[in-house]
Amino acid sequence: MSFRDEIGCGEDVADHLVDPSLVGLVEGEVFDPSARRAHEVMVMARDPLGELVTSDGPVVRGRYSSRLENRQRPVQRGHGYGSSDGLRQVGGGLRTRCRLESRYDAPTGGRVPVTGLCQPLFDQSIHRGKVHVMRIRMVLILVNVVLLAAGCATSQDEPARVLATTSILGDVTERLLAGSGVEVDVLIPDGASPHDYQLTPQEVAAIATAEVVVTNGLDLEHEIGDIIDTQAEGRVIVAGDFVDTLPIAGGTVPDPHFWMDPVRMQAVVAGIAAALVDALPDHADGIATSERFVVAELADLDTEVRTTLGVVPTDSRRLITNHDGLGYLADRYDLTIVASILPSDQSSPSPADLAAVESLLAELPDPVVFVDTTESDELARLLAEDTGATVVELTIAQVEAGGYVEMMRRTAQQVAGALAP
Amino acid sequence: MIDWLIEPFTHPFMQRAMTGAVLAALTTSVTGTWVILRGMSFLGDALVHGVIPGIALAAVLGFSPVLGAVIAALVMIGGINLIHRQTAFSEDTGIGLLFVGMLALGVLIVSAAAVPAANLERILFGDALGVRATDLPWLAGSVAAVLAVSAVFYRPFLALSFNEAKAELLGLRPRLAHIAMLALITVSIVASFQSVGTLLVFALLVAPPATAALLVRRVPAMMAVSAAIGTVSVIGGLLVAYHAGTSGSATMALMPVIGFFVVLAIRSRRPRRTDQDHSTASVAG
Repeated sequence: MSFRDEIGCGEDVADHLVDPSLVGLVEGEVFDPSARRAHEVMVMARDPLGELVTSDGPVVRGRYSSRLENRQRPVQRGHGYGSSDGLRQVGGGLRTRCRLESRYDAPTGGRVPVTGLCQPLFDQSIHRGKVHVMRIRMVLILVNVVLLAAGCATSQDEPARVLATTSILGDVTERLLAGSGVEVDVLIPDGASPHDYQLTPQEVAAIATAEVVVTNGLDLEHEIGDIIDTQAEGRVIVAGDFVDTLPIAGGTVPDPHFWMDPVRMQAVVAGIAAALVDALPDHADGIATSERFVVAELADLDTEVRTTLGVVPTDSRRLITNHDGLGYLADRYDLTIVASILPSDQSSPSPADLAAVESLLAELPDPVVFVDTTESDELARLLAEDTGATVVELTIAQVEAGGYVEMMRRTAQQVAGALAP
Repeated sequence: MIDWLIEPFTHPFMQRAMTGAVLAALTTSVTGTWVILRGMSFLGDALVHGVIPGIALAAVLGFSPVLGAVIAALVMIGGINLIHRQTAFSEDTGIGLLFVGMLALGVLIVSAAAVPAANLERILFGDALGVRATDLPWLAGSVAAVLAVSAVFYRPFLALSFNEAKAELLGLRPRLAHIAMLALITVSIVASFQSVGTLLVFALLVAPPATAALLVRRVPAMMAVSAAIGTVSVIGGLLVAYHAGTSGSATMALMPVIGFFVVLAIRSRRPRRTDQDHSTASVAG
C-alpha cells in the first residue's frame, strides 16, 4: 500500500514544486550540494493532514499519526562520515535520507498505513549548529538548501483533464486524484459569485475539452451550468446527485450549499470517486486509496466541528445570516437559522423582511449577523449598525490556504466564537 | 390606519429609505421635467446604465465611484455629441451605440477584474433599502444643485425645450444650454442611483414628470406636481412593500408608473379632445 519515490532529481527547490502530493509512505533524499562544512540537516514535511512533521517526534492527532525519520550522510567518501544523529564532515554536499510515514488507526480495529497524500515541505530544512538555541535563527536565514524532492515521477506537461466549477469541489477532487498526475483546474475563481461569473471563451473551451467536469449542479452555477450541459464533451460529474438535499428555507428548491455538512460531503466524495474511477480507470487504485483517506478525514472533521460547536449553549444555537448558505451546517449540528436577510431567489428583499430581522436582532442580548463574501452584505451591515449587532464574516465558498477541511474548521470556530459567551 | 402608516417608519432603515427616495424624487422631478420636455428620456436611461464602466473601473482601481460615474457620463455625452455632429444619424442612434458600448465595457471590466462580486452588485444595482445615513447629505446637495442650475438656466432651458432655432435667435445660446442640461441630468443620476438604485432613479426621472405634464402646463408647476407625485409614490411604494412583503425598490419604481396610467385613464374619460379619447382608450382598458 505504500508508494515509494526516490527523491533525487538534483534541482533547486524553487524549480521543483511540481506536484507536492504523493500517495502513501514517502521516502526520499534531501541533498544540499553547497554544504561545505559539517552541519546537520533537519528535514520537515507536511503530512496528509497538513501538519508540519519534523524528525523530533511523531505528530499525533486523534486516530491519526505521522512520523518522520531522517538519516544524513556526506556525499564524498573519505572526507568524513555520517551517522544517524548527525554529520561530522562534508566534502561535496550533504545528502539526507528521509522517510515520512503516516498512519491512520482504522475504526475497524488494527492500524493501517495511511495512503493519502503526503506533501514534503521542500524549502524548509534547517542547518543545525551544535548549540541547540541556534536552531531557531537558522530557520530564518537558511534558504539556499537544495532539496531533491519527491514527485519527480509525475509528469509536468500532462494537460488539464479534470475541471471543477468551484474551489471547494476542486479541492476535494484534487485530493482524490493526489499523486495521479492528473491536473485539476477550478473554473470559478475563489471569491467570485458562481451566480454572476461570466466565462471567457478559453474557459468555455476548457469545459468542452476537459475529460471530466465536476459541478455542484443544484443551480449554484446558473448559466455556467447550462454551458456545461451543452458544451462539455467529457464526463460531467454532478456532486449534487450524491446528496440528500434540504430545501432552501421556506421553499422546495434544493439548497446547493451542501458542502457545509462534512457528513454529506463524505457521500459526495464517495460519489465523485466512483465516477472518477469510471472516467479515469488508469488511476482507479490511487483514487480508491485516496477516497478512503479523505472520507475518514471528513469523519474526523465531523467530530471536530461537532466538538467545536458543542460549546455553544442550547439557547444560543440560533443563526441570523445574510443569505442562506448555512442551512446544512445548521441541520447537521443542531443550530437553527432564525432569519436570512437576502431572499434565496436573488431578488431584492422586502422592507417587511428587513423589519422582521431588525426586530429579531433588537430582541437578542448579543445579536450576531453572519455574512459571507459571495453576496452583497450591505443591508446586513446596515441592520447590524442600527441594532448594535456584531457582524461575523465567513468565507464558506473560498478554500484559500488549507483547503476545504481548513475552511470548515475555521467556519466552525468563527460560529462557535461568536455564539458562545 | 394611522398605525399602518406610522409603524413601518419606526425602523431606521425605513426612515433612511424614505428620506433618500424622497430626496431622489425631488432631484429627478426638476431634472426629469426638462428630460420630458426635451424628449430625452432615452438619454436618461442610457446614462443610468452608461455610467457602469466608470463605477466598475473605480471599484477596480480604488477611486471614488462618483468620480468614475462622472467620467463615464462625460465620455458618453461626448460620444453622443460627436456622432450627432459628424453624421446625419438622429440622436437616438448615437445614444443607442454609446449605451450598448458602455454597458458591454462595464460587463467586460467587471468580469476581467477580480473584484469581489458582492461589492459590485451593490454599486451597480443599489437598493433603496440600503440607503446609508452618509448618502443623505449628498442627495440633499444634489437637490440644491439642480434647483440652482434650473433657476439660472431657466430661460435658455425653456427656449431650448420648445424650439432650438428660436433659442438661437433669442441669443439664448442653445448649445451651452444643452451642455448645462446634460450636466444637470448627469448630476442628478449620479447623485441618486448609488443610494436608491438604478431602477428607482430611472422610474423617478420619467414617470412623475410625465404624469405632471398631463396635469399642468407651466414648467415650475410641472416640477412641483412631479415632486409631489414622486414623494407620494415612494412613500406609498414603501408602505405597500412593507405590508405586502414585496421588493422595496421595485414597488417604489412601479408606483409612479401606475400613477401615470391612472391619471391618463381619468383624463381620457373627460371629453376634451376626441383623438385623445381614441388613442388612450386601449391603454386604459
